[in-house]
Amino acid sequence: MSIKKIDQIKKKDKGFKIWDILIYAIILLAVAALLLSVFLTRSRDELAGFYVYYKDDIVFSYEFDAERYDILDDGHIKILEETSSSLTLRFFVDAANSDEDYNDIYVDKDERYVDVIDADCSQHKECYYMDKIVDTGSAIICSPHRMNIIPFGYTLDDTGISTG
Amino acid sequence: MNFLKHKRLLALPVAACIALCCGLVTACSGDGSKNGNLTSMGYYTSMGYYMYAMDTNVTLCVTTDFSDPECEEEADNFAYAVKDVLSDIERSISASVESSYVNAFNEAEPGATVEIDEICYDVLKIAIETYNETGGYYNPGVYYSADLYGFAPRVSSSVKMPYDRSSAYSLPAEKYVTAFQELSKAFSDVEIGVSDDGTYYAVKPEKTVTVEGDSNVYSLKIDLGGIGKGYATDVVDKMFEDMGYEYGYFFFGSSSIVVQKCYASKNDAWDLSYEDPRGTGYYLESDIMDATLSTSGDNKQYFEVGGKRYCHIMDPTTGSSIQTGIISCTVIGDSAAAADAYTTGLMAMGLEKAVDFINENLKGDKVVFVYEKDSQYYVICNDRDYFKIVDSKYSFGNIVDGDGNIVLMDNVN
Repeated sequence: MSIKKIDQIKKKDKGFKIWDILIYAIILLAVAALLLSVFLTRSRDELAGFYVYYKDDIVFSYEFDAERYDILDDGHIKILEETSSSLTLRFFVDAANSDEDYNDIYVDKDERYVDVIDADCSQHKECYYMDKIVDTGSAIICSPHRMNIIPFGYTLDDTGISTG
Repeated sequence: MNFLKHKRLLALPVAACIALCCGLVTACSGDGSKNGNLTSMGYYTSMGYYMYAMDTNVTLCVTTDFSDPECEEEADNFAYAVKDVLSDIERSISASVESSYVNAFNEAEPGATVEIDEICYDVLKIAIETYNETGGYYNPGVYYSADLYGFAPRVSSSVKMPYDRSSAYSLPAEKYVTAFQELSKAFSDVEIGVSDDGTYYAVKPEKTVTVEGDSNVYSLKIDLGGIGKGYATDVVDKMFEDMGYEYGYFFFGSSSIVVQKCYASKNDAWDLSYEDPRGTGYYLESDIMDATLSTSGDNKQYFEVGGKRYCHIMDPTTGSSIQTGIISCTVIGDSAAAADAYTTGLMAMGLEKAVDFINENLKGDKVVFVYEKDSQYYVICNDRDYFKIVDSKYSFGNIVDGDGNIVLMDNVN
């Protein structure tokens, strides 16, 4: 074997150069960043807003990002209180009497949830005991008053359902 | 092989890894309505369509590739079609709709032949069959009995009756309870049929009752609300099948339900939780897919007087709210309409008759009910391997023998 050939073999056996290492490091960092972005980007289930229905009709809506509400039927909705961090409104069935057949709804603007905090619907007030709505996967229902709070993009990706 | 000799090739799997991550990020982020599982066909996700019909909240869950505009449009159209069907059924059989055929029947004179439509005919046919099957314990003729307690639908809230209670938490007069219990038996005389020209009809029974001090003459009124929701659920089940939707569900309230498969689940089954009739959580769990179910309970529509609960389910033998100790009942089977009638009938039958009926007639279905005795809550069911108790307040009150029969434990009887 000539010296020339040995040199060629030696050249082929060279390991990573510094630039190779840098390139692979950049690639690995990019992979890591992409994976992290999956977990750190805004949750797909986060509550963007909600509607209040009376039977089939939307009577109120609220958007968290815009901090904006729309009263679509003032015969069923009135605002009780609004602060920089919260909104409290009352749904009522009879336009002539907002002190009876009502549900008081609390909106936390910072924590982005909506909840029923008071009602006179029945002895057992199911809507009051329902969990607050924090994402797009749940709703609050008041059957006696035909009132429902439904989140924007009401999605049902769970595997769980219930009956009762 | 010298690994380092192939460092350029090393870039290939790394690049593939990046490409895969890009795909995952695209699949998983984005707007809230396009999340889901990556499949070879695109992105499957489940959307909920909220509706309102027959005084009840309705949820339709459709699972499809919502990232495909065509699939989304198809699902939207399906939801609209379901809504239309529910409206048709409501217009036909809702006792609170003035123009419904049921209301026409209710307002007709005793002995009158009332024209009805096919929907009303179909629902009445199921009602009559299950009335006979349950020995009258499911009886849609208890309308006046339920109205006595404030649980029956009225055409208008302005309608007032002489027997209306003085307050929402008082009890009705016994003379009305007795009279209306007698009147409800007339359901056995309801006849339905199809004329030669193809029109459907129902014949109202001749029977009437009067009550001392009340000038009204009362004839039979019926309420097909419960079984009607089950009928609607069965219709939607067929619509799922016709559309080819394998995944999703339809909830008519939380009591009449049809479930397909669950896309997000590894075994295609939904995790079904049963609401605690005496608490705020769940007492029971089971898997379910490709089935219909109905649940009746005394925990949704009721009031309490003197520590006693009066719910919307009537005992046809007493004319009053059931006091049988059965506080909740679920039947899982092939027909939500039949299941609805069975759950109502079973709750009215009481413990022993209910067990006999299940053993004789419902072995092909999954049946579970809660029996309350001496402040203890017993779960009675015909498949203890299928139902799982998740609340320590409850315990099984039976075994199931080799023939699939419910055998009550001594402390339950």
